Amino acid sequence: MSSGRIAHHRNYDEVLSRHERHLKMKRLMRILIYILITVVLVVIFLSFFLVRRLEQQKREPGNTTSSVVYNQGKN
Amino acid sequence: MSDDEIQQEFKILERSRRNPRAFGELYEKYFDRIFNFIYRQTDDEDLTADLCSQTFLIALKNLGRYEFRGVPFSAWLYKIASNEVNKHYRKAKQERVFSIEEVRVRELIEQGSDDWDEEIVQRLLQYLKSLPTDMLEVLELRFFEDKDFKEISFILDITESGAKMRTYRALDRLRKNFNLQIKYDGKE
Repeated sequence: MSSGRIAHHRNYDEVLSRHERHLKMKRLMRILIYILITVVLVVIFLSFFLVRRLEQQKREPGNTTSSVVYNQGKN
Repeated sequence: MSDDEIQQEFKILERSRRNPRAFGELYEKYFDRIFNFIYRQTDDEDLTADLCSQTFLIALKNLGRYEFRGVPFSAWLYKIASNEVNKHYRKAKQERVFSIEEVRVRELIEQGSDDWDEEIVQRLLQYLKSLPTDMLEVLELRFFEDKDFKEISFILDITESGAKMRTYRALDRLRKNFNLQIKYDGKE
């Protein structure tokens, strides 16, 4: 094939812009993955914390309110 | 390639890792060769342009992973191009095409034999069409792209002895059928 015809297909700017688009997508994916990991860790931490609170509340009986009535012999 | 040229290329690669625009120099240098290499295996101009663009894009994306392995940088480009062509044929489930330029075949014959005629050229072209793909690949790289066996083995991912064997077998057949002696120009 002649060099003239081949030169018609030469376009480094197009290759460069595709490469830059690819880099942007890669950065975006990385950010999304970091956000996802953070959300998952936060959910795990919160669940753990919540479960511990509930277990503590079950174990401590003094938390229930009760009233004691003293009968001072006023019958 | 001389040591100076290799050093020069290495410097361009280092710059390209920091600034992709610098890779344009290597793009301009090798575009024609890679284009022709792919065109010979597709015989389709638009497809070749796509695959060629894809080859340089992949090279650009993987520049960080490139390391010198005793073969020129161009061999890495040819390897990527070869893989892209193979990928295309696997996806398209089409039969492979090898487009051999008649003028290049004539040059080869003129090298190897003083008494040749048009009939021999045509017979040789027919004969080349009947060769298996793996032999044609090696012949194309050896005689049309002027690659040595080390580069051919790197590009096609075969052993150096495998590349030599395929070449010698094809040349042996040529010698027997056409009484052609293809000269090597010292590239081993």
